[in-house]
Amino acid sequence: MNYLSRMISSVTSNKRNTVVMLLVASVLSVVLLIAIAIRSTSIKSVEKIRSSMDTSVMVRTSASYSTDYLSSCQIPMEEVRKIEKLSNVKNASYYVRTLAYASNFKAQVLEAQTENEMKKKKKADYVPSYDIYIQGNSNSKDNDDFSNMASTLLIGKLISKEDDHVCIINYALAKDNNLALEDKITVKNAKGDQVSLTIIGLYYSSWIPDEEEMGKFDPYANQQNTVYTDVTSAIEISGKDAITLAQFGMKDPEKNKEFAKEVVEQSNFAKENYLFENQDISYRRLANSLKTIISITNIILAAIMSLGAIIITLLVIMAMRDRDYEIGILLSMGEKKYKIVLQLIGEQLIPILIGGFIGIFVDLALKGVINGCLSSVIDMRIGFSVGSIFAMFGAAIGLNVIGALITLYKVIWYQPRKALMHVE
Amino acid sequence: METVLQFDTIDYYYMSGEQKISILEQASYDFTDHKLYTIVGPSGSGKTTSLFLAGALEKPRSGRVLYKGKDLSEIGLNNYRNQKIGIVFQSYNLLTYFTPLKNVLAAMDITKNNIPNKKQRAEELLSRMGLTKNQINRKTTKLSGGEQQRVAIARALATDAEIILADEPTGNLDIDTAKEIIGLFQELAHEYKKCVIAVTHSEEFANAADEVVCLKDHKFAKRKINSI
Repeated sequence: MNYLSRMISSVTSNKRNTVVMLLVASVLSVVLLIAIAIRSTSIKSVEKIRSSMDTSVMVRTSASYSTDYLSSCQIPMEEVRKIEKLSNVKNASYYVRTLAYASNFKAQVLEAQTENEMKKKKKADYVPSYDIYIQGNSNSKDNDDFSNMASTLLIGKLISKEDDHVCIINYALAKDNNLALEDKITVKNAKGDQVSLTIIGLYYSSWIPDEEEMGKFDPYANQQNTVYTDVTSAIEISGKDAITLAQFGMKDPEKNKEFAKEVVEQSNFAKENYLFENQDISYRRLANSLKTIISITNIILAAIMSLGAIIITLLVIMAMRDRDYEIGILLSMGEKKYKIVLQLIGEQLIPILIGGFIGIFVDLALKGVINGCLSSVIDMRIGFSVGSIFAMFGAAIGLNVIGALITLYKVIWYQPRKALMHVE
Repeated sequence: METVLQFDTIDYYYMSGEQKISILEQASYDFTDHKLYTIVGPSGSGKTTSLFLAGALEKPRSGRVLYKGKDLSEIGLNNYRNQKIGIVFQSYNLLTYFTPLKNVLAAMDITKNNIPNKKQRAEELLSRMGLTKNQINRKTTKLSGGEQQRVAIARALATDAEIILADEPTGNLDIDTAKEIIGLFQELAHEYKKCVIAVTHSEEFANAADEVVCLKDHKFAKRKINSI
């Protein structure tokens, strides 16, 4: 094609303009590719931690903070099941706390507590004090007592999601009642409903009671009287089909806030009753630092693109300044305007594309040095993927958009009279 | 002899602010093949405008430019330019990044006229214009003014155009070279049977023409006819 031949001949003959454009394009390509690679690596890292890091949202009510354990089961199971089905929920674990009475065994009661109880019995409205503190979990590992080592499993196993009507009791409580693994204990609630639990584990607690202090509280407050059980059993004991709090594992940590809105929108439970706690500190810390890097590289890219576009546009304007006559010659020979436009834009793109390749080679050659510098600043190693390279070429060609538009305008609105008239 | 180009009641003007500057008013003229025409007139009389109108590089404000009876707009301005005419300008108008040979080949590539053996034909044309094989493969900027003008004429001929338009073709040349070029234009008209229309200030060129067309009072007028 004739205009291709003209394009190549023009580029090779006008060495000065071509070399300048080539230099500018090469430098821009080197910097663009590094910035794009850093941005791309950061985005991939964010995506990776987003998909691999576990985050959760804890849903509770204000009652869960109070020491009125009996009224702390506030979130109806009906609502919980709805929330479980929301799109961002990966998994769920529940927590129930309530109080009960020891039925076929004796709770650990301090002397002061016995004395208090005796005093209460004399009153007309006497209601026996609760002596067992029930903590129900989908998984004992999720219970703070075990994760904080306040309670340590001595023998047996922890409760898991599949377990039903099981419990872990204090070693001292077991010893006092001659209880062992596989034995059953029975607890009852205020209505008299009895629930039987099989012992699957014994725990040790480092808690040492202060007799004087603990004397002010009911026996359930003694650590040895804490019984860990499964959620189903705890709900049964509480007599309410509700839980104290739920922890929902999220599929996408970026949608945690959206999840909270969905819960409020879809729930029949009073909106003001829900409290949400995002358990995503580690994710935020990592993701935010990477997002900061992405923002910085976006700014750098915008600056490079702006500066690059200005420089290349100026070079194009200078190059086009002397092409009026040539455009007139070609039009007078009957060449089509679009072919002239293609020729001129092609002449602009050739050095940009070659500059792009030079940029790639330079960056590849200096990859070690670049990564060395980056490691000292942001602990990151970049690679130049095919995607980054294509993006760099796309950006480099994009720098010539204004230049191409100027060319198009010049040829379309060309005034042959002005350009071709002889000079007296 | 056939009428190949007609100016039919052409009006051409341009606006200078609010003022209308008239160049041609109801101007008409017929140009035939086998003839060398020169268009003369004082500066600003519309000589180059006439050439641009003939070359479809400008459009008349009213009236028509006809090629063998057909309005140029019917033929298509691009088709007309790349098939029917060749233009030679005062400043030669060569593509500086091409050799003389490639300049001629470029015109052949652009035209829609079927031209067989392009390279051979280009070499022949350039040889007929007095250029050696060494010269035709040299950079155009290394050639003299006269040599460059010969290349421009060869390029104008390369597309087998019937009409050759020239805008002050001898304006940048010395007297002797100008004489040679004038001779070439006569050859184009008489031996190549082209319709050659040249705008000139040169009396010598005007005197060498078969017909001198004068621009006066915004119209064409025959000043003189020389016998062929």
